[in-house]
Amino acid sequence: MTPEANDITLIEQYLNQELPEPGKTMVEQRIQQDPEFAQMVQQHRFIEELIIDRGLLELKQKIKAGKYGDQSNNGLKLYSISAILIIISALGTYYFLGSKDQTTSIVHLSTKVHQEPIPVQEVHTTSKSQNEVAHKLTSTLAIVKPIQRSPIQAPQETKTEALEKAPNELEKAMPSEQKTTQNQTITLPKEEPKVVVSRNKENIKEEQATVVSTEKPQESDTDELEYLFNPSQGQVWLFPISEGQNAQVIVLGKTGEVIYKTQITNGLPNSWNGLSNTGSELGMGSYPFIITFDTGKIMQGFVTIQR
Amino acid sequence: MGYSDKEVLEKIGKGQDDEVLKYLYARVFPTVKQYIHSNSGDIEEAKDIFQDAILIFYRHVKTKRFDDTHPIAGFIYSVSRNLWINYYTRVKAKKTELTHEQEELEHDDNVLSELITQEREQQVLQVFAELGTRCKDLLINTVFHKLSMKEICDKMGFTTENSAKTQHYKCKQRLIDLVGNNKTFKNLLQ
Repeated sequence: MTPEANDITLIEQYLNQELPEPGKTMVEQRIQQDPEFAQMVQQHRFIEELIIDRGLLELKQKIKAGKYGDQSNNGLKLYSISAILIIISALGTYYFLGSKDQTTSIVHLSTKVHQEPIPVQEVHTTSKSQNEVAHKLTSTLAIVKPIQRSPIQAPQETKTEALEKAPNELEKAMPSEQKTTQNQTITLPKEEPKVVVSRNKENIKEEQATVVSTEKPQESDTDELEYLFNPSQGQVWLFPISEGQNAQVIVLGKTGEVIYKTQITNGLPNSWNGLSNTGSELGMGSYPFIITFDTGKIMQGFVTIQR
Repeated sequence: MGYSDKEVLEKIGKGQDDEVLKYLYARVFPTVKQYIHSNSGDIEEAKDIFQDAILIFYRHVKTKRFDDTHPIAGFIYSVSRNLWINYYTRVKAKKTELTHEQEELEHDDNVLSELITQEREQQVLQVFAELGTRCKDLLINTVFHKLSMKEICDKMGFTTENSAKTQHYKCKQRLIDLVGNNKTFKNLLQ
């Protein structure tokens, strides 16, 4: 190697703090005494920083292209949507076979649920809690969960997108602590108040033949659809209802009263502007909603209004 | 999936950035998102802040300034928080009042100096564009990823480690010359 190459190797080792003594002290002395050498060190330090910045910019591109933030989102979305699907199939089965024969309903539930990308363990909890709920419900009532803010932002995209992901990918995307928390809560299902029964008579009538339950405290973070919009900025809530579908959308107030209700025919109207049926502007807050499709399918969650 | 801090640093050393990023986004991003969300930020802002915090973390690691006795998650979280407060006071504070918590937090302006400014980003991109892709890739592999000369031979198709090394010196010298001819950089070098 040329003497110059030797110097560069020396400088690189020095800058990387890889140069053992006494080499380090020697380099420092040379920097003091030899201005040309000092300038070389300075130049190399400068371009090494430059190269690191260039590397960081490449990393930045990678982050942008990788959409890592979205991935972790999708994982949670998938989780919450799968959870909702379980509830929906459970409810569907319960609705059709209902109080007549609970055993059959549970068997049905399990078979249905197996088609979903969900660990079997969860199926049991669902069946169990459904059983409990079934006992609690003497008639058909709308049950509204106490408002709980999920720490993770709500799913705002369509179902199919999340469903494309395989379940093991979802596992990966889930932070491990979250999983443990869930497991812990499974063992203590009775700690939190499970249901709030809406006593509004009108409500009961409207919800005839509709059981909406949000049991399962262990899913409290993930089992809700959540939407957010700001009517003050002219935003509307686009219903998760596609063209050609018929459904009824009901938004409930803090005490369980119906504040907005609309019938959707062929996918229209497709949005809500945040005005109640009486025409008043609703304040900031999360409102429970229930969408009942004429196929019997039910979607529910919270719609948050910002102003 | 879960790595210890030591494993994360090792993976960064080996250039397994994809795994590191996936892990950090799964492990730390939710907390940062939650913090920013509860301090009047939205998801897009949270993503931007977190991305900058990751870059600052990487820079600390790459320049060997990262103190590995500190937990990585805590480091990234506190950098994110500082970035958010800075951003908030500069950009958003005019629109809304600061919450009590934000007023109490100390500002750490150092964190800003760790960011690559837009101006510097342009200059860096420009000078490496002049240097050419091959030299750029080689230098990023040697200096940023710290690959060994043998790995570089395999990755970039050099026949001998010596030729890779010679090319590395040549590229460095060309970069020094380019920087010397560039007015903005020249001033910084003085």
